[in-house]
This record gives sequence, C-alpha cells and structure tokens, in this order.
Amino acid sequence: MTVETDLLGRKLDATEIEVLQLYRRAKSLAGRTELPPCVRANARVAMVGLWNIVNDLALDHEQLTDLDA
Amino acid sequence: MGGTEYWNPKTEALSRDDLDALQLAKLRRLAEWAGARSPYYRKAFAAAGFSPDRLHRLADLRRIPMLTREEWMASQAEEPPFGRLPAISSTQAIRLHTTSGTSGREPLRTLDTAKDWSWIAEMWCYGLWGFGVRPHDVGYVAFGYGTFIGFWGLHYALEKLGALNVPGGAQTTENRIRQIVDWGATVVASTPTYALRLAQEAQALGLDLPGSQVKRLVLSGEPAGSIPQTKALIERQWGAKAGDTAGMTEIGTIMMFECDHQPGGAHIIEDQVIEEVVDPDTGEPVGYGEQGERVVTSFGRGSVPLLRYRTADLVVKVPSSTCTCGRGFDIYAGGILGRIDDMKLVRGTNVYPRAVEAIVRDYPAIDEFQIRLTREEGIRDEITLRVELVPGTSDGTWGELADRLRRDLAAAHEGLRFTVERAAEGELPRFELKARRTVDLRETPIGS
Repeated sequence: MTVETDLLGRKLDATEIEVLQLYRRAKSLAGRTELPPCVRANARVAMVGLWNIVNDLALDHEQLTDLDA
Repeated sequence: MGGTEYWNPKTEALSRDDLDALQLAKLRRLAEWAGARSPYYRKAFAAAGFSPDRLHRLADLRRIPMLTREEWMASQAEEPPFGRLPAISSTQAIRLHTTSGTSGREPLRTLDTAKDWSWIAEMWCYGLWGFGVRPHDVGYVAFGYGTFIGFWGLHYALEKLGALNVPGGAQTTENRIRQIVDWGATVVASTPTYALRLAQEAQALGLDLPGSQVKRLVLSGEPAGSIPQTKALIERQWGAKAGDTAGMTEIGTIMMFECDHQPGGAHIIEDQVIEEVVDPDTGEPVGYGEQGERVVTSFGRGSVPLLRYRTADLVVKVPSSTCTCGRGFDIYAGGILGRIDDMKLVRGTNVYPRAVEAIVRDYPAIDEFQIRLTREEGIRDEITLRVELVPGTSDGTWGELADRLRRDLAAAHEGLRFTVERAAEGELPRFELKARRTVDLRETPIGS
C-alpha cells in the first residue's frame, strides 16, 4: 500500500486521509453528467468546500475547471 | 491541529524552509496550468524560453517573465472583453468583477469559477480570524456592492466563519451608522477614509460610537489603514481596534492582513501567494528592510492565473519574527507604503501623498484635505494643501493652524514651500471607496 504524503512530503494523519477521500468522492459525484441539476450543483458546492481544506492543509493543489468549478 | 489563534494552524506556523517548499510545489502546478490553459502565458513562456519543468528551486521563479498591468490592458483591448489571460471561457465562470476605476484608466475585468470564488472568501478568513473575528461577532460591511470587488470576499468570509453578516450596501451614511449602532455590530469593514466619514456622521447625529458594541474595524482599499496617525485617529473616534488588510482585484482578494498582535504591519498569506519585492528599475530582488515594488504570484485563482504580476505598490518586507504571534508569514512593515506612480516631483522634491496624510492627521481640527499641483506661468510648479476644518472650529484658530501646518510640511519635504488654503465646509469631495485626494493639474512635472 502506498503511503500518501502532503505537498511537503509529510505522511498524512487520519483526518487528512479522511478529507482527501471525501474530496475525491465529491469530485467523482460532481463529474457525473447524468445526475439531476440539484445533485450536481450541490455536489459541486461540497467539492469546492473540500477543495479549500485540501488546499489549506497542503494535501493537494489543483484547478477544478474541468468539473465546472 | 488545535488552537484558535490561527485560521490554518498547519501552514501559518510553518518555518521559512517549509513555506518555501510549499510555494515551490504549488508554483510548479500553477505554472503548468497557466502554460497549458492560458493563451497569454503559453506565448509569454515561449517568448521567454521558460517551461515549468525548469522550476527546480523557488529562486527559479525568476525565470518566469513578469506581467505588467499595461500588458494585461493591451491583451484586454486586443481581445475584448477579457483578453488572453483567462484559462477558462466566460461560460465556466460564476462571477465577473472589475478594478475600481478610481485611477481614471479602463478597468481590468476578471472572471472567477465557483472554486476561485470560494478561495477568495477563504483568504479573507485568514485575515478576519487572525485579527480576532469569531463566530459570535456581528459584522457590518459598509460597502456599495457592485462590480468592484472591494469587500465581496469579506462578505462571504464572515458567513463562512460563522459570524452574523450585515450587508450594508445601498445605504446613506446616516442609515449605515445608525444600523451599526442599533444592531450591535461588533466588527465593521470599510475603507479608512469611510471609517472616518462614518465617525463624523455619528458625531453629527449625537451617537456615542466609542460606547457602541464595535470592537474591531477591518480596513482595506487604501494605504491609510497602516498610516499610524490615521489609524490612531480611527481607533480614537471609534473606541475600537483597527486592523489593516490589502488586496487587489487582480488576485480577487487580500494577500495580507494585520493580526491581533498589531505588529505595525501586515502578514503575507504565504501558503497561498508568493510576494516578491524588487527594485522597480532593475526588477532584481531587494532584501528584508529595503523598499521595493511588490510582485505577486497567486495560487488560488485558476480562471485568470497571475504569475509575477508587477503591482506598482511600494513595500518593505521584514521577517515574520518581527511579530510576536508566532506565524511564519513575513510582514510588510507599515502595509502598502504607496504606489510608484503616487510620488510627485515638485521643484525637485519628492512628495508622497501618504507622508502628507500622516502630517495632516496630527491636526484634529482638519476634517478633509486635498493636495493640488499646478504650474504657474508655465514654468513653476506649486503645491497647495486645501483643508476643510471640522464644523464648529473657531475661525480664530485658522491663522496659527495654517502657519504650523506649513512649517510641518516644509520640514518633512526638504524645505519645500506648501501653500495652505482653507476650503469652505463641504467643499472638498468625500469618498466611500478609494479616496482620491491628489489633483495634479500639470502636464509633466518639471525635471521628470
């Protein structure tokens, strides 16, 4: 199993792992085009909120334009 | 990850080396993004022979060509309405904002995606939390909401951190100050100039501002938030603590904030931006304690990437250890000290509006002022300070006040003779956003 690290090369703690997993799941949900507008739009809001945690904690840094955010 | 003094305890207390490493990691991704998605950067990188894989250490940042406002403006004019900088199409954006237009130039137009807009509020959260704003606070935003970005980010930051947000747009000054007092606002956001205007209105209405619930003023939009004399005047009139912040439409938000320890400057939010200070003539970096021009690289706004943007703001960077708060974020001592194009040359002497304001604010009898530059007989530059006195000030005090003011101004400007004129009550303009108190009626300063 690969040990994930943050942008500083530090091993993630349990909260950080949880945040990263939630973020990836929100991205996956926000990217599904077959979902009704209420699901996609609110999944996008959740994804953007999680992006801020991921960015602030230096877990990852990316743009989300391809997911309309 | 506990602790309540920092919005983001993980990065705000990082060491210099760790901050540099984090900035390099984010910079690589931003440069890749900009090079791949922004037509402007694709061309600029190619012209400079730069590619993101050349970023091996943070100092390699200097391989990236700088961007000026003029270049951005030219791009906007060539391909209106947004130019070639955006990495997205306008259909992918959720917000459109512009610069204030107070400089008289064509405003810059920016786009933000949902993610960018959320980051913009996040940046204000660093500042508000760092200055002591908490969920129990009632925040009043004394701002005319519009396309100028101003306090929009602060508005959403108040909500994000859980405070009660009172959006004070589309109001008269009288209504605003009554709402601030009647609704128990504990935090007020405004420009420094407008904070003074609100205090003046409170006085005229007989409202006891120092006795109100207001505990903190969050200032932005003008360098005056860090002019000690102006800040002291605001704190005295409100009976509250004033904290400076500074941002710009080009990054959409603030990039620095004064923390609750009030170190005489503002911390740079260094996990989210890179702030270089360079010699304005050579573009070479200057060291701690030396004045230079701010050059900003912002990681958060992906829609309009900003790499090495020359701001024309003058600053002096000092180490984070200058403050006792424990943050690793370096500080701009005295905030934004002025703009390169603010400096006026009068008969061979440099005059900075900030320095004039610092003198004027030591005179409690002066309510408003304006600096006028004229050319007499086509050859001789003159500088006049026009002042409006606080209503009710005795006429008998004018002669002595004008003499003293003239002497103080001359002493601070190598003996330069200022004409000091009294303006009638209400004659000088008042400002809600950025104040424009310097009126230069010359074409080109003699000797420039």
